[in-house]
Amino acid sequence: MAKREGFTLIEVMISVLIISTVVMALYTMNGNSSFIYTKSVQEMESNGYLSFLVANKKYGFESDSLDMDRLLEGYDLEDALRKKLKTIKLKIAYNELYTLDMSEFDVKEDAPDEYQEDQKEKNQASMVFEIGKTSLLFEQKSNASILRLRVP
Amino acid sequence: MKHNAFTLMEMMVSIVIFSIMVLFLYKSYAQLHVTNNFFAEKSQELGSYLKKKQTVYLDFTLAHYNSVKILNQNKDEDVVFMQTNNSLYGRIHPYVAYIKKDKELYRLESLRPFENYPLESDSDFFGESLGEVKGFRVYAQSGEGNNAASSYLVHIDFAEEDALLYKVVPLNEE
Repeated sequence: MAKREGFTLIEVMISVLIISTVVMALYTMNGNSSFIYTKSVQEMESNGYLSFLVANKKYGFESDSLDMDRLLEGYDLEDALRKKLKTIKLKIAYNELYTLDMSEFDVKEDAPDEYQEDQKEKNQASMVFEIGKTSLLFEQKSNASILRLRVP
Repeated sequence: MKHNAFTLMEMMVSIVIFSIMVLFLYKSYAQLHVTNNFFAEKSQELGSYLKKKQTVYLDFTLAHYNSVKILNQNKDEDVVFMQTNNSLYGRIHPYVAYIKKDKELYRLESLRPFENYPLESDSDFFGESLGEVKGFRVYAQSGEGNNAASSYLVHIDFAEEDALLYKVVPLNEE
């Protein structure tokens, strides 16, 4: 019987590995482009919605669940736009990150009168600044966050 | 004499296997090429969209105090006049108008104020098209205790791109 010389297991495994690596690399490149594009579009949309919280004193400092149109209560919107915004369900998550208590910098009682007068004029006594992060999560598909400073 | 070469059958089988692999690799590469072109085109569109958004945002944010006039034409169309610190042509404090004409939204920039719509025949301005739109509305939110708007909601419903909906707070104060 003639001696048969086939590929060894190692040779087959190495060749399969090389081909898989090349194919995977190609698919990864494809996947990356599509992921980056989708993310950019989502981020742009989120930023637009996030702008509704700018200078909005009513929403954003407490966690809440509401329709998007509530963030634009002060505007006399067209019915079609308001209806469209009403369909977007939104969750607001607020996390307090840091509190800066200005009472640490209060002028001491034994300080000269002129300093105490100055503090009264600036009305700085016992002010508390709060830095927090507000996140918007809408339609379970994307979210965006802004840092906010709450001034009393 | 013993021959240690490949037989014809072995060669044919290996060439067939190799061809199948190359075919799959080529298909994969061709697909990648097509999708890359698609995403390159899309990124370019995204860049152009961002530029429009930035222009609108800066115009309203840097608008002079109480200078924004919104002239409502119908439920899908506003004409907006303002004086702003933002210029696309290196001008100082230009007057800017947003006008929808023949389904296109135009941004006009001039050194002379825009007073009335339709514009006067001797108006002098540089114009830029922001693209085809289905609607252009600007909503103002009244400030507390004065007549100036505290913020604006700009809604541009583009025909071929996503609608732009942005709240802008003017920075210039009285």
